[in-house]
This record gives sequence, structure tokens and C-alpha cells, in this order.
Amino acid sequence: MIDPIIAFFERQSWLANLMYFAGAAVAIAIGAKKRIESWWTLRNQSLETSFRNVAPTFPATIEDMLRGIKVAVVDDEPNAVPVEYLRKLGIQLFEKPSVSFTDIEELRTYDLVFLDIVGVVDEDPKRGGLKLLERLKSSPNGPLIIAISSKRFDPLATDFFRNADDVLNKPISPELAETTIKDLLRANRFPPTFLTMFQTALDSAHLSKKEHRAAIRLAQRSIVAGRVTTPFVREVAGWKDQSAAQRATSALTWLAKAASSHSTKS
Amino acid sequence: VKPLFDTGAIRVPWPTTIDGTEIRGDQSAPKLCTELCKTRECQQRLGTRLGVKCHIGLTYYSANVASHKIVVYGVVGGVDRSALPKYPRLKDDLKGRTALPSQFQAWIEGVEKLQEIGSQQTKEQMSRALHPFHDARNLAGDILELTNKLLNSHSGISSAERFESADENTKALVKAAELLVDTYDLAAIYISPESASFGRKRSLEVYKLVDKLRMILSLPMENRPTRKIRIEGRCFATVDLYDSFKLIPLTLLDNAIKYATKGDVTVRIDETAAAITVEVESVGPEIESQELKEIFEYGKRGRFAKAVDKKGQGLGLYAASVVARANGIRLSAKSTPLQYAVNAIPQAVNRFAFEIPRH
Repeated sequence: MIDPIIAFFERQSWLANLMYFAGAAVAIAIGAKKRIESWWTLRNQSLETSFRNVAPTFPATIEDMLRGIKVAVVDDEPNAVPVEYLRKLGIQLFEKPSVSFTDIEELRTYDLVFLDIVGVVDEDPKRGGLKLLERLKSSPNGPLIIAISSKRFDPLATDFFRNADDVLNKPISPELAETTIKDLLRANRFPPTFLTMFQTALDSAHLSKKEHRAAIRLAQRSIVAGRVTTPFVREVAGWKDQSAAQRATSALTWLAKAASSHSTKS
Repeated sequence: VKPLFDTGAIRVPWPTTIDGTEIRGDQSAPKLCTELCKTRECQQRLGTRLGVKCHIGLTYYSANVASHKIVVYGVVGGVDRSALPKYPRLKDDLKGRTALPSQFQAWIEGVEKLQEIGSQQTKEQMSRALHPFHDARNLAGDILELTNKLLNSHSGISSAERFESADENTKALVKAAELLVDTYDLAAIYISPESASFGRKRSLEVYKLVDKLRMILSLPMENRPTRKIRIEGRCFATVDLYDSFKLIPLTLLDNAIKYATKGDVTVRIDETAAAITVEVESVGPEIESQELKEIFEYGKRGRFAKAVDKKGQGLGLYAASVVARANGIRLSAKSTPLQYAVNAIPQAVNRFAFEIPRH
């Protein structure tokens, strides 16, 4: 196996061999430099900085985030939600007095939906909103939903309110609408919340210094990769506190996904 | 569940109890149970759907259907009959009493299905009957919003200042609108206790809320008793609570005003690192010690309270306890007798308190 290779180099002049080896050495050095640099940079970076470096376009504050979101108001009562006020905050707001079950895919593209039960779905005017919510919540990437029906007296509507992300009584004041949207974004779509969740999980897991460092390093790599990597999964599988491991993984899954969707590479 | 059995629509092939009460069925209890068993462990212990052997050697099965415990007892389960203890005098008593786990399971599934159908129909009937409430609640919300706009047109920086500067009619309108909305929200809790924990918890300043209720409830209004409400103590802490929380201080203050026979209603607010405590104190009809244990249950009222107000239904404190549970709040009541009576009704210092944990 090795003999033909030796024979090949023996056939070449000393200068050609020198060029071959020098070229290979330079290529290895460049590769190694990049890896060392990346390792050194990550080592000296917080998880938040890693996230920001990968996804520089991610809104830095809730107010910034508010300016980019798409919200649908699915309600047959036009004045139920202070739409003009919310538009002034920079929210892209779409009023939909009625929708069809066939619009479900389009509704999934919204960040947040204000949803009523009665009179909003053409095919089922009585309880359409309830079924719509069930379907929107059946996929993990669905919009956040604020239930705005007054059917709290209805024993058949219990699931509608329970499965919604928040519930508001109509009429909704501008201040309450703004605070509610901000709170929902902060809890469900804002990186610092998940960074804190990750850190809290780590702190509660009673890790040794070495384990702690490894978890951070592997989390940084997951964020760069845009997905939770196998080494991270293997690392947390060894933790004594598996509930903390689960919390850390779920926070990291969100961060990696968000980083990937806002990555400059993508 | 019991009315379902009372209709006779469900066959009861073995000795059966629901929540400890015997159900009439095809078989009465075997003499082994009625004559030899003194412990009735089948009724005391948890039991399973697969069956448990009792100390006599017979089997009992147990299942929970719509929060009711159904027990089939005194049967021969999936064991070899020869393994049964020998009671020569009563051996004929065990004839035809076999109930295998699979038979019990099939029977209880039938009961569950029937109960589910009945429950769904009841919900549908309630849903139709209560439909008009939704529009009414919406209108009440609109009225409240309009009264708040009206209030905002008065001078003052804070809402409390604007309220104070408003004329008596506006104040009365605000009070009526607030109470109207709260009455609907209380009704929603009686009808659907789950609604106490709908939505997300929001940050709330307890002192501000109690002070707002003080302003509103202290206002004189026709056909409603009025008392001055004094707040002692101060608390600036905010806590995360469901929207329904408001109904706790509202109910306690409203009750205190309704039943007070002398003096002011006093609210004490105390704040520690662990909790915020709010105590509502008034002088009114004594609540006896036995009644204090049940006063937060559905429909329960003190006998002296009934004598003062015959129309009450015993729903306010029940709703408050539902809301307290949903919010993780501890609710308590205390009645210290005074040595006198008003219209033959013994008087006491009544204290209702709730404790909101801060973490």
C-alpha cells in the first residue's frame, strides 16, 4: 500500500517534493489556525455573545421585536382590538373578520393571532374559533394565540381558553394589548429569556467546573451549528439532574433554531 | 353517576357501592361480607381495576368515574376456587359470584361511556342556555370602558384623583359598572371553575387593587348597604396573579359590608419576604366553629348569616376559594365572639384573610 506512494516521491525531483510537503504543511497550518481561533474565540465568549455573533439580525429589545412582527385579528367585531394603536407601534396588523379552515397554513405564518370563537370561521360560525385554535396549536411552529372570546360561561369552550397562550376580555385597552403582546414575546420568542433558562438549568444541575465548561462550550457549538449537536446531548445525558438536563436542552433547542433562522449565512 | 344507576339503564351484576352507598343490583352482598367482615377494607382502601383480595379471601374492584368511587365487592375474582378459604356453612353463598378483571373492566367502561354521553349533553344544554350571557358580559365590558372614559375626562393625574374629583353620579356609575362586570366574572367562576386560571398571570400591585375596591365599595348606593373601609398597613410589592384574583378581595369586602352591624370594615395589609397577607375585619353575625370549616364550600353559609340575609346562596366565598386555589393563595376565616347580640343574633369580630406567596 505504502510502496507505490514512496515510489511516486522517489520519481520526483527534490524541488517538487519540497513543494509538495511545504504546500501540505501550509494547508494543515491554515486549517489548524482556523480551528484554534474558533476554539479560542468561543472559549472567551459568553453564550449570549455567541448567539449575537451567529444571529446579528435578531432584535435586541422587545420594542425592536414588536416592530417586525405580523399579527392577525380574527374577530367579527371590528373594535375588539385597538388595531390603530398597535399599528403605530410598528406591528404589521391584519384584520380578518372571517376566515376559512383552508386558511390555516396562512395563519401559521403569523407571529401572533387574536382569536374569537363565534362568527369567525365560514364553515362553522358557532364554534369555528375553537377548532381553529386546536389546529393551529397542533403544530409546534404555530403562532402565539390570545383568546378574546367572552364565552367563559360556555362549558364547551374550556379547552379554547386553556390552550390559548393568553386570555383577554373585550374591549381590550391599548395599554393592555401592548403589554400582553410584549409579555408573550418575552416569554416565548425572546433570546435572553431562553439564555436565562439555559443558565438557570445549568446552575441548578450541580455540575463540576469541568462539566459546566463543557456544557457551555458544546452549547456554543450547537448555536453555531443551528441545532443541538450530538456531543451536547451525550454530555447532558451524564448529568445527575435529568430534569435540569431536559430544561437546558429545550432552551438550547430554541436558541439554536432561532440563531439558525436569523443567521447571516442563511 | 348515581342517578345514572338509579334509572336502571345500567345493569349492576355484582354487589356495588358508589362513594360508600349501596346500589341496588342483581345480587345482594354475600353473607361472608355481611356476617364475617368487620373491617370493610373494600370501602376503606384504594383498590384497583385489576382486583384486590380482601382478608376473607374474596375480591373487590375499584374505579373512579367522574370523581366518584365505584366499588364492586364480595366477588370471586380470577383465582382458583379451591384456593378460597373454606366456610362450609356459607359455601353456597359464593355461587354465581364470579367477576373476572376483564368482566369488571368491560362493565366499568360501559359506565364511563354512558357518563361521558350524559356529561356532554349537559354541557351542550348549558352552552345553549348560557349563550345570552356572553353578549351581556360584552355589553357590561363596554359600559365599564365608557365609564372609565367618562372618569378620565375629570381632573387629576392618577385614576384615584380623577375618581375623587368626579361628581357623585359619575362615581355611582363607575361603581355600578365595576360591580356589574365583577358579577358576571363571579358567575363564570361558579359555572366553570376552570376559568379562574385562564390566561397568563399578570404582575399586580395588591395594595393598589384593594385601595381601588375600597374607593368603589365605600360609595353610597341605593339598595346596597354601605360601610366605610379603612386600610391599615402598606405594601408596594407586586405579585404575578391570574385576572380572577380580584374576585377574592372583592368578595371578602362585599361580604364584610353586607353583614357588618357596627363600625367600619378594616383591611390590614402586611408584607413579609415570603408572603403578602390581607385581612378583612368587621363586626357581624358570629360564625360557629363547625361552620368555619365549611364556609368556603359550595352553598354553605353560617346559620346567623342566613338569618341576616335570606337571599344569599353561599356562592361568593366558594368562588373566592376556587380563585384562591387557582392562584396558590391560602384563604382562612376566624370568628371571635363578642358578648352581645343584635336582634337575637350573637355578634363576633369576623376576620377573613388571604396569604399570597411571593415566590
